[in-house]
Amino acid sequence: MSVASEYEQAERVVADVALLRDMAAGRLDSERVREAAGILLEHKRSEMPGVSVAVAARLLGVSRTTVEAWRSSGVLSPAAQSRRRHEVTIDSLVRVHALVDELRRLGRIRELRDYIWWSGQDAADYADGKLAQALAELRAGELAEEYAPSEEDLRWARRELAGPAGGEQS
Amino acid sequence: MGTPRAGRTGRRGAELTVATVPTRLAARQIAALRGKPRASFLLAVDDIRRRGCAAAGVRLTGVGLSAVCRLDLYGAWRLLTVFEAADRCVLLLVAEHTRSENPYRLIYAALGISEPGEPRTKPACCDPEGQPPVDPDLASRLEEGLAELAPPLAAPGKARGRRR
Repeated sequence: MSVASEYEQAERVVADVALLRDMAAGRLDSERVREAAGILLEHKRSEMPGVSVAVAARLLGVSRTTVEAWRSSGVLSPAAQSRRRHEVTIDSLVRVHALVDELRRLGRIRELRDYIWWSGQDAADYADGKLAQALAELRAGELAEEYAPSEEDLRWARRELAGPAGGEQS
Repeated sequence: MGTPRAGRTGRRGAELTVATVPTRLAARQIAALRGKPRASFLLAVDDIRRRGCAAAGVRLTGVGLSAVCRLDLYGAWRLLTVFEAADRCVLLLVAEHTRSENPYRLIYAALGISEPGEPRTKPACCDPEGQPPVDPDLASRLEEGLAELAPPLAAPGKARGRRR
C-alpha cells in the first residue's frame, strides 16, 4: 500500500471512528445516527460479504439442499467474488432469516397454516389456465345460453349411473 | 340432450329454479361429455337448478378463488361454478381433476411446519364470506412470505377483496 492510499484510508477511518464515538456518546441527531449506522453496516458487510451454504443452512435451520435450492432460484443471492464456489450474501441471508423466523412463528397457528396450504394446493391444481380463461369469459360477459337438462336427459342419466349396463349417449 | 333455454329462471312449484349459464369454454366441455361423467353432470346441474348453492359443493381457497365453488362429479370429474346471484349460477368448468404437487410442501418441510391432515374441511359453497377463519393480515403475510420462498408459484394478483 502506498503512503498516499494509506493516508486516504486512515483519513476515512478516523472520520468514521469519530462519528461512531459521537453516536456511542449519544451526541448525534437522528440523521447523523442513520449515517453512523450506515458506516457500521458497510463495515460489517466488508468484514464477511458471504457465508457458505453449510453455514447459511445452520443459521436458517434448514437443510443444505434447501439453501442450494433457494440460492438457485434467487431467494438467496450468490456472493460475488467468493472464495468458495457456493456462498450466499450476508444481506440476502439476513432478509431470508427474518422471513423464515416469521413464517415459523405463523406456521404454529394451525388454521393459518392449513388455509395457506390449501390455498397453494388450489392455485396449483388450477394453474393450467382453464379456470383463468373461464373467469375471464365471465368477467367479459362471454357466456353461452342457459343450459338446462331435459326430463329425457335426467332419465337417461339416472339409468346410466344406476348400473354398469348403462349405454353411452352422444 | 340438454338444451339451451331462456327465461326459465324463477319458481317451479315450491322449488327454486336457478339459471345455470355456462361460459363458452364450459359449453364446449359440456358438449364433449360422454357416459357417466355426462350423466353425473346432468344430475348435478338439475340439482343446482332446484337447490342453488346448497347443491354446488364447497368453495375453493385462496387469492381469486374463494368465490369459486367445486362439486365432485363422477370419478375425478369436477364442476366449478360461480354464483352471480342466488338464482343465477355460471358454470365455469367441467373437467377432470388432477392433483398437482403442493408448491408449499418443500417449504413447509424445510421450516418444520406440519401439513394439514385429511380430510380437508372447506367452507360450503353457500358460505357468504368464503374467507379464511383467521386474521386476514396474518394470512397475507404468511402467504406472501411463502410465495417469496417459492418463486415458481406466481401469486395471481396481490389484491384481494377480504371482507372480514
